[in-house]
Amino acid sequence: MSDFRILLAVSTSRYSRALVDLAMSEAEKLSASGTKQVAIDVLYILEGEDLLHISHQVGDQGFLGLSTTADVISTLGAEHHRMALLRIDEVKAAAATKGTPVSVLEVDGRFVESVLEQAGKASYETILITRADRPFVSRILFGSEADRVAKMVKKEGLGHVIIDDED
Amino acid sequence: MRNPRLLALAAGPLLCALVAFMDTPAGLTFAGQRSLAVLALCVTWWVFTPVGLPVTSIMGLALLPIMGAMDAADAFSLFGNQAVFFVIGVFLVAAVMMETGLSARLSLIGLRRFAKDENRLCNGVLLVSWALCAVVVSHAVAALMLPIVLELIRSLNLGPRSRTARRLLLSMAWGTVAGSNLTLLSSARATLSLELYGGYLADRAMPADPIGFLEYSMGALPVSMASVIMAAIVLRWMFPPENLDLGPAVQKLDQKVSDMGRMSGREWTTLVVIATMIFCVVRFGSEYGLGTVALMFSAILFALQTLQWEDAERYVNWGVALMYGGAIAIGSALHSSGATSWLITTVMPSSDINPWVALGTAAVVTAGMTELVSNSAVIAVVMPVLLPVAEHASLDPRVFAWSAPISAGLAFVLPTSTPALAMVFGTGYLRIKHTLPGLLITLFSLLVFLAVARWLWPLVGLPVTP
Repeated sequence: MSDFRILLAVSTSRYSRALVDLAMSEAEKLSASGTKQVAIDVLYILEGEDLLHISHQVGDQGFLGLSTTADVISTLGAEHHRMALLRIDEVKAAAATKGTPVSVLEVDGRFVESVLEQAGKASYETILITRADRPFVSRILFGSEADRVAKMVKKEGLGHVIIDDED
Repeated sequence: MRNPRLLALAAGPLLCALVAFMDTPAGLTFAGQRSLAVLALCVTWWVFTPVGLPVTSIMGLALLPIMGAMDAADAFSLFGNQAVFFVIGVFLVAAVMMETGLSARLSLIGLRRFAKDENRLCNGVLLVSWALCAVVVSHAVAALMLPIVLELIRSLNLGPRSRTARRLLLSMAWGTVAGSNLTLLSSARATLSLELYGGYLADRAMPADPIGFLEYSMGALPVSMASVIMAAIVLRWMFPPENLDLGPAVQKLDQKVSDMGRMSGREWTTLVVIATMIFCVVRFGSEYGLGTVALMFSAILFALQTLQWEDAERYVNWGVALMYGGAIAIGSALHSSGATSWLITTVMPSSDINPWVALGTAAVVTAGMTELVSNSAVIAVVMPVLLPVAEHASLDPRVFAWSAPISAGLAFVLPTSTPALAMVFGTGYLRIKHTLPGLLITLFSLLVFLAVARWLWPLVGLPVTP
């Protein structure tokens, strides 16, 4: 018997609390719809690029040296890591109460490419992602990465994407 | 072109060429036209930052002689002026304060005193961040306070949705933004502004009018205080207390203070040297020049082994000297060639301008720009234009030496405005909606600034109108 699989993507800049509830309600829906077991794969993406613009601002505009800039970036990176791990623990705890198996995959890279690569590796019923907080104008002008994932997944027929807008 | 960086990179030279090779308008000299062309490139690059700010400055510096706007010898001599060396001194002070741990000790002791309840703890973060800026450049204070505040948040087990966590982070950021207007050590932009003002007087063969450390601080202090008081009110209103048990945070602070042990000899030496430096900057700054005093004490810090050259390299981005040196040279080319005077009389042919309207408009425009652009770049762009506006609007140009850097320091909303806000946005705890009420602080600070200029400055011999 093969599983229904859910891919839940969290990253250092995307770890909405609502994703946990969304993952559990999707798991319930899928298990109610058939006889297959539901499994959740949590994909945790360590995004270095998101902190790059802060590094530029601290170094190039604040004129602080490399050591100070590196300290700031490492502090922020550690905080994001902590929050993302907190979400993963929450998913694990919630899934444990329903008997849903959870596996965690950790990768370094960019959000869109990492999600697409993982989506191509296994057959997922549902892919859950959230938006990173960005100014509305920036999103209009330069597009949303979450929308790009949804578009590419649909084009490649890799599953059904749900974007969580709540944060 | 989808890539905005490439668009800005191409737009700079295109605008430069357009201004340089158009027919020279009546009343504008050849050198003036070429200075404006260099300014067009620099404004585009400083605002949209397709390259780092210092890179834009060195491009401008190289273009001045190449395009015939200024002799190479004059351009390069401006590069090595006192203001640049004072700014280097400002960053070296921040470096030694951070390296010896003195700034961390002062902030932790300060915070421990405030850690009685949530309100006091948040106000403590605001006040400690603000006060530390009197001696340490504000961006460095933000970099120093960020891990401390995040540790407090962790010790209290707060998440990104916690009101107290958001208030603590914004207290740190807004404290340093308000504190950046405290003294000439708080930010480099005030020094740039004073130098551009001094250069303007020299280019127009007007008598020199040096503005001292204390004089500048006395003019800026009321606005800085108004900003920090308003920030405390806005933060209390936006993020009411959550009735948290502060025990773990107090324990964490106690542990960190205890881990630091007694003050080391190196810290005492730093404290004494910096206190003496501030005294000498105040007492002898006008006589010998701020840069001279700053260099002397920087050398003393190195000689006493309080600061090693490796530390200076790790803590200071030397691009700061390139950025400021280039901006000063470009500003001087614009004034000495008469380009900005021509620009102002062309754009505003009538000289019947209410000085208060001119001052208020300049302050609002500068504060608006600084939300989007680095405040050093804002000063480099607006000062060469504002100084001739002053004469045109019957304002004492001296007023802009204060008003421009103060207004350029009122950046309380967008993450693009200052490294402190970029850092707290970078934590993921805050959204733009949380910082939007920062506009109230900007507005209140601007009103206080105009009130101070109207009623207080004339009492200390600084009338807005000559």
